[in-house]
Amino acid sequence: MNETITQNLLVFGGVLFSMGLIGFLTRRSLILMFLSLELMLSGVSVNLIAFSRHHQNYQGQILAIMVLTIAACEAAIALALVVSLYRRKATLDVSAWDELSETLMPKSVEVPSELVAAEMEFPKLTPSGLDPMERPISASFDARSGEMIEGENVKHSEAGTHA
Amino acid sequence: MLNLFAWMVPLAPLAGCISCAVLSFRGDRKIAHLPAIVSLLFSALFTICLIIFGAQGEKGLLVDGYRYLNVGGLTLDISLKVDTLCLCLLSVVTCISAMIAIYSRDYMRDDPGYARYYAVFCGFVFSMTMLVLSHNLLMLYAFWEGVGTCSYLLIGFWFRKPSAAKAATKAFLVNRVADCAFLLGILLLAYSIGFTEFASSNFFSRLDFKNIFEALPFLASKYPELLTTVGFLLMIGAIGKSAQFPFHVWLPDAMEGPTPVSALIHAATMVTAGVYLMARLSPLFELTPSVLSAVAWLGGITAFIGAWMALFQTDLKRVLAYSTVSQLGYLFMAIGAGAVRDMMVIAVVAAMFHLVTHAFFKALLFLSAGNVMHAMGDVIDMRRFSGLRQVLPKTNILFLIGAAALAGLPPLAGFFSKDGILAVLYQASQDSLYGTQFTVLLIVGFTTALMTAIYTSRAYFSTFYGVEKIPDEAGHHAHEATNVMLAPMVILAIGAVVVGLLLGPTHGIANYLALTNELHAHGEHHEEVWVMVASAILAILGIGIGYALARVEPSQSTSGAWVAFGDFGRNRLYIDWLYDVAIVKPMEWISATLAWFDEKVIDAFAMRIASVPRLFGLVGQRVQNGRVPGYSFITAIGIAALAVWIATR
Amino acid sequence: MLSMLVPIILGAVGYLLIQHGVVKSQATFAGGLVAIVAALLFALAFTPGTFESTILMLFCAMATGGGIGFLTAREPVYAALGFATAVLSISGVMFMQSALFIAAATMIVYAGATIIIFLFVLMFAQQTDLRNYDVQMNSPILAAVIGAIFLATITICVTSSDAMLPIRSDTTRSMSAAAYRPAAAADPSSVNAATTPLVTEEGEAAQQFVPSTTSGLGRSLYTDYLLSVELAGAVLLVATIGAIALAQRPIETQKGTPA
Repeated sequence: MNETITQNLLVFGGVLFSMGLIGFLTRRSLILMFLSLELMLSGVSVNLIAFSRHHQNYQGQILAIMVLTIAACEAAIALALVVSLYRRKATLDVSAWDELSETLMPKSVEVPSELVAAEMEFPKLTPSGLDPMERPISASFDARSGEMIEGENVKHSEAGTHA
Repeated sequence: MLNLFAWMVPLAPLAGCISCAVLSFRGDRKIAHLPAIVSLLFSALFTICLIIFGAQGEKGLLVDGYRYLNVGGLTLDISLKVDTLCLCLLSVVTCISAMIAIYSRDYMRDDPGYARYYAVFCGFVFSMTMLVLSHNLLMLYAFWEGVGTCSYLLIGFWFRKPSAAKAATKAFLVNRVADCAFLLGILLLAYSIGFTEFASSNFFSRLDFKNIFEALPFLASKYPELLTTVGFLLMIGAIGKSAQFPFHVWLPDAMEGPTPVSALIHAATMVTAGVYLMARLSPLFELTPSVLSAVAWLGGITAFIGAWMALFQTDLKRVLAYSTVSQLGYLFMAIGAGAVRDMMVIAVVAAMFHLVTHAFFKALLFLSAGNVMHAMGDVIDMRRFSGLRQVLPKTNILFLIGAAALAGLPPLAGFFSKDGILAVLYQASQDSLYGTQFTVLLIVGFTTALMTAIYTSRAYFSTFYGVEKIPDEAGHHAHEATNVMLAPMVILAIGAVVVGLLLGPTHGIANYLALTNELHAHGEHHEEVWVMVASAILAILGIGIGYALARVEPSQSTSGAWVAFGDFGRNRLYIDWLYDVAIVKPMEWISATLAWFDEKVIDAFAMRIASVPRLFGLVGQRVQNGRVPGYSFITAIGIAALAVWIATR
Repeated sequence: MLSMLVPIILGAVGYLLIQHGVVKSQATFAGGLVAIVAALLFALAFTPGTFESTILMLFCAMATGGGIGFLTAREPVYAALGFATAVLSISGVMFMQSALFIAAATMIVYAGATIIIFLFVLMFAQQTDLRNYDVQMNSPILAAVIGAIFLATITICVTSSDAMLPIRSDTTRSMSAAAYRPAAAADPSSVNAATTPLVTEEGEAAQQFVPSTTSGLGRSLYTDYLLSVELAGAVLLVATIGAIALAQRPIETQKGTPA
């Protein structure tokens, strides 16, 4: 049975590693790519712990400590790099850095905007300091940015607009 | 010491050439003439020393030089052979080139390519002197090409002018065709000498003149047809360089070069290289009388058509160019007279005599034409100026001297030398075998002498006499030439007057040339007075007709034959047109076809093959799109494949 | 053995269905969830039926769920939360293997430090709305196939009956308590002898699971692997310096252009 548990643990480590791999391959945001790297490393740690349990010695755990250490260092440096890269191009898209290409391939296909915008339905709340009965909220108020969008049924008050 | 002198004769111009070449990189226009003139004067001085000190010795002096090639059993030495035949031509070459170099100082003063001019000039003199002094037929061929190259560079001196560039190419290509035959002749000769017992293991030394002459009797007895073929091929080479029919077409176009160049190369020196070749190889040609007979025919035809075309030219330099062609025809007629038994030496002597005198007065005539051109603002069309007697008095006199010498007026030089040739022709016409041929050629010679006098005096009178008419391009240029230009012309004029008297009747040149090994045997030389009288009468008659032609334009209603005569003459007998249609156009068509084939078929095929790796590359290129996700996918696929492979082992 | 592939394939299909980019509708979302759950239940069949292994399976399921959430979330913060869930579950798994120190360290370092750093950077660099790179995934189908192949290979290799997992009995210290007596009575040669093999040829008769202790781990760390500790410390120092150097603002020269 111990062997079965060891096998299960190893498969679990493999599952984590594969998930990390899929995440690294599919993600286009730099930060999430590095996060999936961390997932892969934790899969490796699980494997090491499984072997430590199986062989009844501390080798696996010590190596897991080292892996943890290195993962922490790597995370620090990777995020420093991400910050530098973000400063250059103001985007976290990894496809933005493709100047070393051999062919002039077209840029990645843009997602149709309705796919993006369709989800952005936030509830509209009355901004604080205004009486909801007095001024019914219309769809012309942009809750996220806090600005009025010009439209109908908007009355300006002399008491000052919402800061 | 004589060895040193002998080497200094060609090496001084070489040093001048290199100095001027170095100066030409600086675009020098101030001192470039100094190395050239100094080196050429040295060369002339050393030649005179060689003559005075009797350098030829008993059997000619062989001065060792530089071992050019020593590979396996092949050795090729560059040595100089000095004998009186060499020195005769060498003195002409070096003295006249020195004079012309001094003349060029003022003539070419304004040209931006001043230093380049002098560099190629000295290079030419170097090649010519080495040609004359060569001891080996192959070495002679090498410097033959050298003079051809320098001639190309000098004809095309103003290479941005399309007509000049074309003329230079034409000269070189026509010479090339003839030189192909020349080379074949040389190789055939070397090969055939291999059959004799004189064949050494060194291929090149078979072509030493000494060895050639030693092998000749054997070859003549065993393989006469081979020798005739060799002689024929060598003749073609000489004909190409010396502008005989049918290779004469390059010489009139070579007038695109500067006038001093025309004076030097195409009057006095390079075109005489062919005659020198035949004179040098006279023992060989002596044994192939059929070749010499062909030479005589070609010379006769050339002399006649040269004079024909010169009669109807309007360009002063072209008149002189065709005159050169015609006089070279005389030389070849003379050499051809050696076909008759025992007459070779006399023939060579007569030819060399005329060569020397012709060099003097033709150079003088060209330089005078240069004066006229310089004064008329580069206009040389005779229809546009006349009556320049008052404007260019000194040039008038010099041109007169040269023209009289060319026409053969006694007692100027041309009279004696032309008379010598006619005498040789007459003597040859007495022979039983070739008698009729040389009788015809004698008549041709007389007719040509008459025509020579006519066109010469026509040119002179229409230029210097009549109403004074100066073209607009002259501007303020219409002044006499400077003293620097006139002084060498005076020396040449003195030569034109005196040389004939000095060398001809006194048998000076005959005796001098007899000191050469190959020209030992004296033939019988008959003095024929009637020939001299006849040629003098013809000269005076021709001068009169020319004067009349210059003063009075021929009326339009002349007979059809005369009009056709003139038309043919003006259009160069349509020989150029014939060459163009029969040779040039088919060659152009063939080369265009081959170029199309090369470009569209062979190149396309090669390009297709070459583009195959590129296709492979294009396939692989799509992988490298510089995007991290793409690369990581490839890595992941590799990892998965590796894992599968490890698992399934 | 090939039945092992079923949960893998189900899991991959479920992942793809949940992916927003592939086919977007609620039915597929639900179908994907069903597939994932089915995969986990199927995998349950391969565990021995003890209580310990069921709890272990629970933790694994939580980790897998957190991982799937991490893979398919559109908002980056939700993905980070999924990752945190996965890390907590992994920590639980490690606890059950009595790797106490590692479990605690995992939780502290990953869920504590790493995710916090990530969230800070997200706050710094993330735009207020979703951008393309958050919404769109690079070829999820191909990635799922690759992941599935890889996982299948590992699974088959690990669980095949040919693969014998031998026990290493070497000079390194084992976890048996007998080896960690104070040095007075320790006999060097007894270290090896104290090693009791867990799995014998006969089977499961002589199984003796000796849990590891933190003190034992520490002792092993600072005696057998001292050099590694020192080196790890050096690496941490260098990484610190490197991170500071890399994240600096570029120094502006006099003309205002970065150095």
